[in-house]
Amino acid sequence: MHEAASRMLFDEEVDKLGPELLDSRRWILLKREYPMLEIEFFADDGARLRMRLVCNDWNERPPSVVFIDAQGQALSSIERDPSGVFNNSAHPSTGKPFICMKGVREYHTHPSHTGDAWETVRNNDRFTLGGILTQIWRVWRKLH
Amino acid sequence: MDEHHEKFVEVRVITTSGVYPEAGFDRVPEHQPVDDVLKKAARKLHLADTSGWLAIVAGRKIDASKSYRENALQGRVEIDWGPDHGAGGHA
Repeated sequence: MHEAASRMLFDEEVDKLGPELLDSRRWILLKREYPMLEIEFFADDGARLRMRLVCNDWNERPPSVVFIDAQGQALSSIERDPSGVFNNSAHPSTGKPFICMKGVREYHTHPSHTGDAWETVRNNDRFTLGGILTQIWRVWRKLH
Repeated sequence: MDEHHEKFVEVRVITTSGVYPEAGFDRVPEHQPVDDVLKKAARKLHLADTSGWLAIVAGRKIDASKSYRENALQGRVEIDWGPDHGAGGHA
């Protein structure tokens, strides 16, 4: 995908994550500089989840999602969830824990899911950047 | 003589694709199904497929096919509307 088109779509979608949404969901946008989007979720029990979405080639490819610490370093382990979306094993490509969920690059590139093509869902409203974040957030909120 | 006073709620819909209405709140009868405002929001925010989306108010999932009154909603109502949790796993 042409970088200018990818950047335009990225900016358009991130712009729509308005203050009403961020406040009510307790999300903070830490950094937005194409192709990177860093975001942190907060829960009532004090838990936090910080992630970096790497959105190069958006939306020809889904975002890569990396769990990061307060210094921006990739985490080597994460909290698991019962459904297995938060996968603590090493991804074959990145060697890091990953989100095993449709709409995330590490899912679609995992050998277990290569038949589940991103192209079949990429234009659905569930799979905008905000939609993907919402799906991840709801998984995490089940834990907190 | 009984006089019927229709009650209203003020509502807005918050999504990752924007907010409806763009400013302020819509004033609607409390007997109106919540779906009505969600349909308006979908049109305004250019949402083509919202099947399976959840409508959440103050952390509580509501039934959008029912009215505000049936959902025990009154006053100002902010609906967080978006897709359910993601699926996958089994890798």
